[in-house]
Amino acid sequence: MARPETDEVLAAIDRLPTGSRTPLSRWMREHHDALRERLQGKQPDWTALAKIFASAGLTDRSGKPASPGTARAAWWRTRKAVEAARASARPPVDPSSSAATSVARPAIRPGRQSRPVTPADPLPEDDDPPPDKPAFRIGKLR
Amino acid sequence: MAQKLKTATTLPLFRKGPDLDGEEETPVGLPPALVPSQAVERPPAGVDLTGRPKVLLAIGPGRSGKTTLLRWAAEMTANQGGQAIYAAADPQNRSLKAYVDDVEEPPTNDAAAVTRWLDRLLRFAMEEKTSALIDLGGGDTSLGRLLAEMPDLATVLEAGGLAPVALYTLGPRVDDLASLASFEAAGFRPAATALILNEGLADPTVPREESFARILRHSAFRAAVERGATMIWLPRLEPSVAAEIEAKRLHFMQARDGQSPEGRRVTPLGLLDRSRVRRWLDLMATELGPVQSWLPT
Repeated sequence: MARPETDEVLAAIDRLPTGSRTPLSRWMREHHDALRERLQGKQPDWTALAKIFASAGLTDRSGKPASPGTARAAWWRTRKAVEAARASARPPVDPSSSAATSVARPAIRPGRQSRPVTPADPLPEDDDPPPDKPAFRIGKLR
Repeated sequence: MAQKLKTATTLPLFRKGPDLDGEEETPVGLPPALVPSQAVERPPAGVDLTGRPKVLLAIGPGRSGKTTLLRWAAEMTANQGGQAIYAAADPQNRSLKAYVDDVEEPPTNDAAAVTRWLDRLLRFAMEEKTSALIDLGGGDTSLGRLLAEMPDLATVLEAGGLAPVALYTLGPRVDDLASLASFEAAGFRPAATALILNEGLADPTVPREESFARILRHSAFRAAVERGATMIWLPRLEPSVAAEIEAKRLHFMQARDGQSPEGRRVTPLGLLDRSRVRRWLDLMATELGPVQSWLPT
């Protein structure tokens, strides 16, 4: 049995959809800062936002309009991914620098890590648990 | 002969009956089998919540009818094509789970953890614009704790697009008013508040108003009614019938229609008991008619 050429296999892989990201997730990632700025300090109305995304053709994994819950989950994952990417790209703080040693540092509790607060740090509402964690389900009569 | 015939023809064929015009009718009838309820002035229909997501909080002491009410509400909701999250704040109380799949409950019965769980559930319902029916359980303290942190909880829920609905189930004991008095005093006064008087807990040999006299004239009850709470009588279902329905884990409509739950072999209720359930369901529809729009859609 003839084996497919390596190039063909790679080409087939290249034709697969980009990772597991949905059109909505891709859009959120590309416009992370702008979207975050607009949602800052607000209690997002995910029903209204989902309608806006749907009208713009930004769909979920199955190509359907994203539900409010799906949109919220996508935004939560996008925020976490962007924060992680920015944190890893940040240059490490030089512990010998004067800026790092001239201020009194609070005692560090065992088992906890602290780092300087930056503008890119999560907003207070980011402390929300992941949207898919408290997935309260719709009940059904037995 | 001719004379005889003449006499016969002059006799009246029918005699005139006694003159009854103006006579007072004598009341008749068998003695009542049940004590008739006194006519009471019905409050106006509750606030209209048609088309809105809502959170129904069933509040009251243990065995005051919360689960019965929510079971009925779940059936009505499903029957109308509505959907909701069903939640029981007391993980020890599994009665709602016997009738509804996917009932949400807190991970533990630790008071602080239950409060956090309730907080998350309310936030989730607000964000998803999803209705929820929550059985707060007899000894629940989570709502009280939440109100201590957020006395304006009802306003916050309204602002978040979720209509709060407080359903207080009450028996005739004056202590049954404890939650109502405390939560109203704490500032939790949703526009949609129902004071549900459970006739099943009253002495069936005396009028219901007499059984609930202490409740009806209590200042906490009257203050709630005066600010717009709706008073509702929860009709009495014959205890033996209610017990059989519960033992068989039947929905009320299945019990009425003599049906068995899908996939289970259960002897249907007898014809007489089905009739009792039919009447109870009719009474429920009548009594809860003013708050029909409070059910999830």
